[in-house]
Parts: sequence; C-alpha cells; structure tokens
Amino acid sequence: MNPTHTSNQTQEQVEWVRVTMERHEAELLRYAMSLVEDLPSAEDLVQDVFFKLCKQEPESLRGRLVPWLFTVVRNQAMDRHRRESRWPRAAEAEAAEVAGNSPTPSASVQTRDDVRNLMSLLTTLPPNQREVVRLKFQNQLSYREISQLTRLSETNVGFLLHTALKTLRQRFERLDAGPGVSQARSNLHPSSPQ
Amino acid sequence: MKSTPSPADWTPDSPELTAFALKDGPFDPSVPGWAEHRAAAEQAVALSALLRAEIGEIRRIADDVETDLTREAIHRLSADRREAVLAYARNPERGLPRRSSARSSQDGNSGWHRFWSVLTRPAMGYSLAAATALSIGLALWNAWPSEPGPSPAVAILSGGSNAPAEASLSISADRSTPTQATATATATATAADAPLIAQPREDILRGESPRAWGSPGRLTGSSTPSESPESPASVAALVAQVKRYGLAPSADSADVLSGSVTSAARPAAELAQKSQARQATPATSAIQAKTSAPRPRAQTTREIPFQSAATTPRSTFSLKPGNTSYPQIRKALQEGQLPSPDAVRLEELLNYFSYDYPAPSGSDPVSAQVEVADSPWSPDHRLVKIGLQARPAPTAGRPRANMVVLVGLSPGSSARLSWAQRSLQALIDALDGPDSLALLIDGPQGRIILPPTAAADRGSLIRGVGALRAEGAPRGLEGLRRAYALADQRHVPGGINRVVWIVDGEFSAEAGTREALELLIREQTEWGVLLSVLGLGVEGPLEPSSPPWMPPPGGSTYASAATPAEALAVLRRELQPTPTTVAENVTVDVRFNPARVDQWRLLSQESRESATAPKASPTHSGVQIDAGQSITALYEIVPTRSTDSTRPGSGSELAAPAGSSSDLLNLEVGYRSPANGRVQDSAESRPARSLQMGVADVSRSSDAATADYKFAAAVVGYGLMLRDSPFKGDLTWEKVQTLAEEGQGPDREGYRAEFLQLVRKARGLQEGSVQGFKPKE
Repeated sequence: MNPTHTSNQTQEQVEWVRVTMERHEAELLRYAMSLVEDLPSAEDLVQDVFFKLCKQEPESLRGRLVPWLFTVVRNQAMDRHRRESRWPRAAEAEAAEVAGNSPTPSASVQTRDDVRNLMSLLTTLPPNQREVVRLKFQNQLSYREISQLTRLSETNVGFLLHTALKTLRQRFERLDAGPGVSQARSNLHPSSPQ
Repeated sequence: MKSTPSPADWTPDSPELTAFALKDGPFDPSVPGWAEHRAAAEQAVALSALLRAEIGEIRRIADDVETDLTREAIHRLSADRREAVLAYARNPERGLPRRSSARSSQDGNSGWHRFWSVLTRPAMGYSLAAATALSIGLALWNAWPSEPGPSPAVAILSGGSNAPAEASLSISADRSTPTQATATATATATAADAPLIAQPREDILRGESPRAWGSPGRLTGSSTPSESPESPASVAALVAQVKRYGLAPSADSADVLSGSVTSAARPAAELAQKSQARQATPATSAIQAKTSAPRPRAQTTREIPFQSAATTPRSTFSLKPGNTSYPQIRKALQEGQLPSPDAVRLEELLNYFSYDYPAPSGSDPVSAQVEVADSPWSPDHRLVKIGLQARPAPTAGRPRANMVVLVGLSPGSSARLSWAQRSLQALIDALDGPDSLALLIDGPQGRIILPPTAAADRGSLIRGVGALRAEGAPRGLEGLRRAYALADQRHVPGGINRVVWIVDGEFSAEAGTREALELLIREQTEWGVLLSVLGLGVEGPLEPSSPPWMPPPGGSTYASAATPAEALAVLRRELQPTPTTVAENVTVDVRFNPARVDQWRLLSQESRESATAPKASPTHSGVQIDAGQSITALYEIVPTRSTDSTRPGSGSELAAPAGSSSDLLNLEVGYRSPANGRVQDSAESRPARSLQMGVADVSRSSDAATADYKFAAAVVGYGLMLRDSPFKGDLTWEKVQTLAEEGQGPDREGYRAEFLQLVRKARGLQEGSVQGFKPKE
C-alpha cells in the first residue's frame, strides 16, 4: 500500500471497497457457489477477493473492475481445488435448494417447474460449458471478459456457449414434447442425456 | 476471432451464429470492425429463413437460461465478514485478520436480514425481526420479489413558482386544537383585480371530519390505455411473459401488464394463447405485436350534463386526471386531421397545463384557490375555476443525485437531439455540486461521452452535452447495461440514482430483448437505480402494454415528450426523489348553495361511475396528493337569479346574514396526513382534517379575469369546440383564440404558445372542413 496515503485517501479507499462490496458481493457469491462446495467456502473466496481489493488502487482497475473480481474468485477457486484436488462440484444442490423452498402460490407453479427443469438441465452440461453459461447469462460478462478470466480464446468461449445452448435447447424441447411432461420433468435424472 | 468464417458460409450450427444472436464475441460493439462484420452477417441472415429461425431459437433459449439463472438464490456476505474487509481497508498494515471459523459464519441472521432488505428495498429498512424476514423472504423469493415502491404518475403538472398575480386564498387546516374556531383566513390579496377572486369566508377548524367525501373509485380515474382490446399477438406475448415471470396474480411490479392481461384475455382464450405463445417464435410474436397494436379507442364519452343543485347539491372532481388527451389531439392536428371527439377529454386538457397557485402557507399540505367570472360562452352562467396546489417538494436537503443519461436517437433526428441538449442543459442547472452526471450515446457507435462527473465541474458537463450526437436508435440491452455500469461507479446509497434513457420512436426491440431488459431493469431497481424512459417526439404516452416498451418495475417511469418543454419537465421531475405524499385519503367536496345555484356542471367527461354527488364512504386509503402536484377543475354554474327568480330559495339570500347562505358554493378538501412510513399505521389512527372555504358569487365579465383563468377557459373552450359540444353556448373559435391569447401569461416553458398554435390549426381545419360541425341551435 502506498505509504503516502493521506487519511483522506484512506477514506476514499474504504468507501470504494465498501461500495464495490455492496454492489458485487451477491454476483460473486453466486459465481463462487458454482465453483465450490458450500456457502461458507464461497464466502471465504469472496471475502478474500475483497481483501485483495483493499490493496488495489481504484485507478488501476478502472473499467475492468468486474472482470478482475471474477478472475480473482476463479483463480482462488482453482487454487483451492488444486489444494484439495477436487474439481468444483456442480450446482445440483443449488437447484435442489431453489426447488425445495416453501410452497408458492399455484399461479407460479408452472414457471417454477420450468426453472427447475432448466436448472437441472444445466447441471447435465460439462463443467466448462456450465461455467461459461453462468458467466455469460448470470453475470452478464461478454465473450471477451469470459475469455480473459478463463484464459480460453474468444473462439473457444463462443464454441462452448454455442454447444451449451444447443444442448440445452435440444434437451428442453425433448422434455417439452408430448403429454406426461410434468411427470417426466420432475423425475428427470440429471445424467440422462437421451 | 480473426478466423471467423464469412457469414455467407454460416450454417445453423455455426458458433458464429450464436455469437451473432447474442450480439457478443465478434459482434460486441466494442470490438473494432464490428459494424462491418455485423452488416455482412445481417445480409447473410436476411437471405436465409433457416438462419433467422435459428437465431430466434438461440435467443429464446438464451433468454430462458438468463431468466432462470438470474433468479437463483441471492447470498450476501455476513456482516462480520464485511466488517473484517472494511477494517482491513482502513488499515492494511495490520495484516489480514485471522479467519475465525469460516464454517460458523453461516449464522445467517445478518445474511437473511440483508437479503430481506434487498427484496423490499426501498420501502422498508432493517427494522423487521430476522426470523420474520426469513420466512417472508423465502415466500417472496418464490413469488418473485415485489417492488412496493410507489409508481410515480407521469403527468402530474406542478404549479408554477412565481408570485401569483392575483389574490389568493390559503386555507388553513385545522390543527391540534379542535376547540379553536376562529376564522384565520389568510388572504394575501395584493393585486388590483382582487375583487375577482373569491374571498375566504371562514376557516372552519374541526378536529375530526366524520364524513369522507367521494368514492375512491371515482377519484382514481386515470387514463388506462390497457382497457382497450389488445391484439392477439401482444396478448400472447404478455401471457407468455406473465407465465414466465409468474406475475399475473401476484400483484407485483407489472401492474400495467397484469391490467392488460386481465382485461384482454378471458380464461379460455388465455389457455389457447398460452400454448400459442409457446409455439410462436419470439421473433414473430414480437414483430406482430409491434405492427398490430392499434391506438386504443375509448368508447364514446359524454360530457357531464347539468345537474340541479336542489336535488344534487354536491360534486367532486378527479384528483388524478389522465394525461393522454392533449397529446392525442396534437398528433391528430399535426397530421392535418381533427381529433376524434372521443379523444377530447376536458379535464385532461385542463390539467395538461399548469397554473400559478400559491403554495400552501405554514404546514398546510394543500392550498385552494377559486376564481369566479361569467362564462365566456354563456354570459349568464358563471364559470368557476378551482385550483388545488400541494406543498412543493423541499429542494434543500435533496439527497445527492447520481444521474446517467443514455441517449439513443436515430440519426436524422437532429431536432430531437437539440431538444435533448437543451433539456439536459437545464438539468445541469438543477444539479448541485456533489451531484454527478454521466452521458452515453447508444447505437452502433455507442460510447461514453462523459464519465460520471461531479456537477461542480460544470464546464465538462456542458461540453459533454454539446458533444452528444444522434447516432443510432437504442439497441436494447447493451446501452442500458453500460449506463447501469456507469451508475454503479457513483452509486449514492440512499441517494437519487437514476438512469434516464432518451429515445425516439425508433426503438426496435428484438426478440427476447424485452424480457431481458425487464429483468435487467428489475434487478437494478432492486439496487436502487431507477430508470426513466423518455420518448422524445413520441406522441402520446409510451404505452407500457404495447411492445417494445416494457412495463416499468416500481420506481421506474415512462414519459413521452412531444415538445422540448415536456422533455424538460420530465427531466426536472426525475431529479426529485420519489415523490413524497403530502396528504392521503384526499377527498374533494363541492357543495353548491341551492339558494344561489340552480344548475351546475363539471366540465369533464363522464366516467364509468357517477361523477356527480360524492357518496358518503367509509375512510379509505384512496387518493394521495404528492408534493408539488396541482389540480384544476372548472364548473359551469347557472345562477338562480338568471333562470328562475321564483325559486323558493332565491329570496332567502336577502334575509340571510353575510355568511354561507350567500355563498355560491362551499369547497371542502378532506385529507389525512401521510403515514410517515409506519407500515401498520392505519388510516384511522391519523385524524382526518379538512380545509374549507366558502366562495362568494360574483358577476363580472371574463374579460376582467386573470390570465390563468382566461387560459383555462380557452383550453376547455377548445375542447368544447373540438367536441362540438352541446354545451358550448355561443362559443366561437374567435373567442377561444382571444382567450388563449389573453391568457398567455409568462408562459415560461412555451406550453401556452404551443396551445395557441394548436387552436389556430384546429380552427383552420374545422372552419375549412365542409362536413359536420353544424351550428347548434
């Protein structure tokens, strides 16, 4: 940290960290949850990101704050994975959590079913596709930003997304077709591609 | 992606097609050469129905995925973790804190607490018990978080601010001392034409008003374009949307949306359309909806006829008049046509304009002003102008503002651009030093013109506004995302964080965009960043129910501005924090004195409910008045003497003491103080209060009336002429024009001058037209 920081600058720095945290902790936690096993671990990851942020100059991250945050989360998750030699678990539990919440008014049941279906279909994708889909559609990152933080080429990101969407579409349409759909939906096994 | 195959070689399975559909990768507008790339791709896609269908499918699944992913549970860091980070930021030399048992940090209370606050922001604070928050939060999450914030009405005209040129009445409300019954009328009669104005007779101070005037249904008659039948395609799209978001029954953000659906779709049809919506590709349904949504046509409306004061002595008027009539008329005239009489709604015309009313004195929330003169079209009648003015919003102490303006105007709309620039310059004038403004241009060359800049740096702001260009119609998501990102940079917690999206009519929502937009807006609204969409040069309201305009989640607004003055008014309003309610349960009761009034008529269209006598109704949490709001109503009165001198009541005035019996009418405005955020505060726990005033009869020519009075008479007279109203008496276009000319007043924003032009235009059209408009006997 720059030792010449005046208290004023410190004040600004703290404010910057506070606002950044306020704005981005939720999306970072979502992303982290898709990379690690549980909420406490995800919170660890995200908290560490903000510790690292404290040492950054706001100027140095201008215009690339969000990709930077995601990159740090990802790198730390990779480190953790290396340490524990486990690839991040997928989002089954999350999906179950969403599905298992308290009952809702009947009007939205249909929508909920769709969510569950798509979420469970998402878990059938390979991890790299799943991650790219999340970054693109949940965190609204661009191909380029995803490419920067995953160190894949942009072409590769495009390919993964394309494949993922196509697969999801095909599987979703298969679910959607014909009577007895709701039965099939709720009993869907995540690993049944056919 | 240098090695991208030429779009001509694309197949439905090309990854590039996905990138194109998502407008990302090589089609990301920040990539150099993007525009040419896109042009080539569009050409290839235009030639292939197969590719187009595929793009629709890709966008649809992408949209579904996005929708579902963004609805996943939201977690936040626990309070102790956040505090640890901030402590470290304050003093990094101390080193990283030791992580105290990460596993136990799931204690949840603070996390849920925060979660709850996100769901309910901005209506509630952190005051609810975490346990309650947990259960309600879960339920809400499942039903999609509702946004209970008030949705600001678009067309509330606020009164002018300069000193009134006439005598004014300020009626004082009763205070905490019901025993006191002194007349404390505060007449600030200063001007020469003071006698024209009704003088305050009495201020009746009462502790409790046992009566509530007017029924809530009657008084909430705002214009609802959603009542018109929707085209099947748009209904299908709406139903699909309702289905997707589960919106319909959970009275949540999209009140407009659910309004349309419930009024337009019957259950059986809904089912059919649901499946239809599922089948149709979003591309086609969006296109159909866009092209086939006709202008809503109201059913034939009648003006309210005269009522006998003997049998119907009481009246009320709407405190929330609609705002569509005047723009509709203007549009018709500009197209060289006379408007349909149904489009002419007198009370809406009247309230399109603002009039100078005195601000309430002291702590009164509302002031009333009444002016009486002979009717310009029936000289033996009186025309009574009643104006209510709510206390203005406090300007000092406004929270800090963080404004981001996204300009998406099609090339060629340079006139609109210059309006936008003029309006933005006025906006800059209204900003204080610590406020910030950012400017972006939407469109193909979308770019940031001015990063968030403190208003103290006025020069940069002005230069930024000057550098704006009309470079392209809004393209939906990208520009708005960028705007929100800029708003992020200067986010003011608890302040005014607002993105103003200036568009013209050229917005082309692509398939799926609408829903993604809505999600984006909803999310940002939860964060406290509100959106205002300002349609420049768009005639009539941006109809939220018809594509491409998405329904605004709570706190966001739409407004259209067909003139620069309107644009300015909208921008100024957006700088205000959420409108503060100054009075609730507001009721207006006009009681005519049968001794003085033979017949009366409210110059207004008949609404569905009887617009005449207010029914005594139990207390209701109905109509609110927001800070700065003003409402104007005109009554035409047939005095007893001029029509029937033998009426039994007419003689009594001579014997009556100077007091109420010689009054023409009595005006009472009942209200309750706003609930001040106390959620469970019942209406009953706040005492009802009222303002009362008696209005004396005066007979004098309208020639001697104030400018505001003449202008109001001109506006309503204009409506009568356009409707060829049976009540127009001996009114002529000549007379309307004279009144409008004499009623120009200061006209600081040019509204009245524009009106005068429209009078000339209508006159020319009507006098030139052969058919119709036979003179009435």
